Amino acid sequence: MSKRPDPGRPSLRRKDMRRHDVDSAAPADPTRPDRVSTWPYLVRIEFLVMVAAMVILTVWSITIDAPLEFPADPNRTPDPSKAPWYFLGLQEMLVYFDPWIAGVMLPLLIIGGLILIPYLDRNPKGNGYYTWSERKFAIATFMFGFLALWIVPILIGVFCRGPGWNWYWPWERWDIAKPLDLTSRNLSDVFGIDGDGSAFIFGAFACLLWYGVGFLPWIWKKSSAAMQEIGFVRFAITALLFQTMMALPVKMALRLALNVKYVWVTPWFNI
Amino acid sequence: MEQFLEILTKPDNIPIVAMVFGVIYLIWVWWKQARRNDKLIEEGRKEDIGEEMRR
Repeated sequence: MSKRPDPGRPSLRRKDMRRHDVDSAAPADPTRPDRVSTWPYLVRIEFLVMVAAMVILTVWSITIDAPLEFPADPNRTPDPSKAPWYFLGLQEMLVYFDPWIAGVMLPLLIIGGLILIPYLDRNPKGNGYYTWSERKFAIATFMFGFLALWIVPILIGVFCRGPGWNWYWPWERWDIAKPLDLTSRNLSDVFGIDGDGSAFIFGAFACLLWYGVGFLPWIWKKSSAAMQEIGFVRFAITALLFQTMMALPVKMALRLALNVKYVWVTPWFNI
Repeated sequence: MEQFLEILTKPDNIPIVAMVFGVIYLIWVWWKQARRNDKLIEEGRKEDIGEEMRR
């Protein structure tokens, strides 16, 4: 019995690419191979990159001393105390979110979301070849998440955060005394809502509204072929991940523009 | 700028500088190849993408 490919699974098969490419009028060529071998093309390049990386790291570790600081001393704590460079993006997120979100939930969602991409994305276009025109939304979303929300916070953490984790421009020296942050407030205060109960309900509504907005494409285009192909569960997971990702720049903007610390304050957690 | 150059040249921060150039270079590689592939798709020659990328 021949094994039929699942149209929902990512595939490097040429005939799958042809089958899903409804726009292309190119006729199928039966003389072409059904699959592309990773040996020697990809494996050879990977091996060369591995050898080059080994050589660079070996030479680097021999020629440059490790930049160790003085022994730990509780009376002399460094300021700013920075995480390793690859974690500075997470440390930067701590400015805008509580540690349980910035340090636990967001990293888990980033890793989980990346793992889920092949299962959520049923569009085979762009599998095995570079394109922009066929996958604009997917590529733009990934680029925004990677560049604006991961690389840029690392650069901010390295170059723009000085003593007290205050913002210092590259042309400013860190010995300039910076004023402390202004008193922060919650989103409910911005709208003049007083009382713990009212603020709790307002915060819950704001969060529900934010995630509800992510489901508008489903409501509008539920019957379209693309949405039917995805299905509600896949769409819901994608929408929740997307809205969580976009919550980061929104919270950053709220903090920087309106000095908002929390959107939703509860007795158990704050968002 | 002294502070900035001091941070930039710290051995600790060499990977960050390498990362910036690496990201720019890899995005350029993707964009260049993606434009070539998109042109083939526009011309209805999607079947030639494999050969184009191995070129």
